Amino acid sequence: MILTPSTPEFEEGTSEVVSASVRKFQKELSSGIVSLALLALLAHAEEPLYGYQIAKELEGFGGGLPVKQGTLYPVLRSLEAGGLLVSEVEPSVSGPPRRYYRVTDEGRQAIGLWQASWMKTREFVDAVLEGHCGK
Amino acid sequence: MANDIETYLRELQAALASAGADPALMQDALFDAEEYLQAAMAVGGKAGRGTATYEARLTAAVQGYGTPEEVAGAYLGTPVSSAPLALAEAVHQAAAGAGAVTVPPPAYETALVTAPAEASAGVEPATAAEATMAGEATAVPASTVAAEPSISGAAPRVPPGVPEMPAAPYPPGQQYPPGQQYPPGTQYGPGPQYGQVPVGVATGMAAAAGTTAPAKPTSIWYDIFGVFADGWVWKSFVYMLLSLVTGTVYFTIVVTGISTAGGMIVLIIGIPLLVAVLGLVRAMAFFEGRVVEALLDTRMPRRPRSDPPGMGFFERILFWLKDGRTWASMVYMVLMLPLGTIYFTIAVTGIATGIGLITAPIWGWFGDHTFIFEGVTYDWWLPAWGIPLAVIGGVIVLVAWMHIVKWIGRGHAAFAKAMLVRLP
Repeated sequence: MILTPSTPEFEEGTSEVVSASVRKFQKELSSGIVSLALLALLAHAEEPLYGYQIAKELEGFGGGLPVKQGTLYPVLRSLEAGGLLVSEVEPSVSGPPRRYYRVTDEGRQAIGLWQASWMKTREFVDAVLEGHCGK
Repeated sequence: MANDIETYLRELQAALASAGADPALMQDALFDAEEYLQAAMAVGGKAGRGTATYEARLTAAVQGYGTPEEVAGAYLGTPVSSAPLALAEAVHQAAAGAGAVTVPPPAYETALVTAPAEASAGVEPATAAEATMAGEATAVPASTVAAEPSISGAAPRVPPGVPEMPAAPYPPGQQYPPGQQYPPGTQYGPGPQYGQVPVGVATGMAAAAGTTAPAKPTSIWYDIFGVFADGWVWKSFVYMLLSLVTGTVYFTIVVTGISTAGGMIVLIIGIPLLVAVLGLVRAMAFFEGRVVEALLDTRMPRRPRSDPPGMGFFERILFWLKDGRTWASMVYMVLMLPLGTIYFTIAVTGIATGIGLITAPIWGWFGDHTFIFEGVTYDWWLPAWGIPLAVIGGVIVLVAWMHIVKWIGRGHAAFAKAMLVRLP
């Protein structure tokens, strides 16, 4: 059995320089966005969720997760360390105990501001990309 | 590549170790990966339930989760404290400064409206993120930490930033046999069921920390005498002493239980008796696993082997009967009587002979030594030239015995794992 790594698929003829730059760009881009998506999802959730549920929920949005689901977990832990999430471990029926995350009050405050920040950023980037920047 | 979850976890551990991850991070990563993969396998993963083999479903789950290298990279590349802390601090300050930005829990959208977009709130996170990108560690504001609500969790929660317990090999989760399915609509929510108890993951892992020991000095003398400094060898010795007791108990319960139940199986009473014996065997297998892990330095299940949820009483019994581990455990328990006797004998005679020979000169000084064998009285004494020989012989016996204890410990650990855990 061979597991193929999920690097983005490139058309034939894409140079190594370009494909490496795409990977690097995606990595840099996703670092903040994943935090935002996780915090938004958990702020909306009615009950604490564990990693797998979170990954599956996020997969259902848009074109699916742009990152590997395994990369969500360190971000969850990072958000918890930052005080925006709290977690507790519960035993589970079907295997190992699971870590359930929920948002703290600080997390709820943060997501509002993060969203505002994201909106501004998106507006700016869209404008730049559409060539309206130096008008 | 990984064809079961435990293999994947080992690969992930190796990937993290080779990248120099610290033990606590490794433990977190292994916890997360096992949680994800077990959950993915329990619901069937992307490949869909019932349509794919165990391997195919695991492949799909691993593809969704990422290769060990990718996942290790994600853990190592994500700062555990700085980024969110900086953001949290900025938000905290902004909220304090703005005053009005108190957001009611569910409707975080309102924050968008009330948040002063042009004010410092909108800018601070960005600058904080910049600071983080520059690699600056931001101190934790005391208020943020103090304000963090704590949930009364089932397991002890380690405060962020506190170094956690040493590295540990991760507990192998129970593997579900290929093709075993869960009924649709089953809830996988939290809550103790099937007699499961919250597992002291942290404690258990600390107890198993042994495989990540630093590189040992290598010399012929260390190879020979180092066993005495190895705590696990002494634990093996304790296991060998204990195995006489546990082996006798296991043997007695299994043999009397099965023969009684078997004899009465034609009567109705034999059936519930058999069920009780099967349940007892599974419980004893779990207990023995805990003993083996504690004393023989091998990872064993941290939880009783769980039955699939949603099974009725008779389905569960049928599952127990069809589960090869039930029968392998039973064989193991029967074999534990002779094995336990042999282990105990080796443990006791080895240490007694070794110490007896080493201390022979001392006994030589105290009076006459006579013993009577079959009515004839013998007298023995240790000549002067024999004293160094006895001491040297005693040391050799003791060292050889210690190595035998070590190898019996390793061998038995592998045997226990094969019989109690790893059966296809």
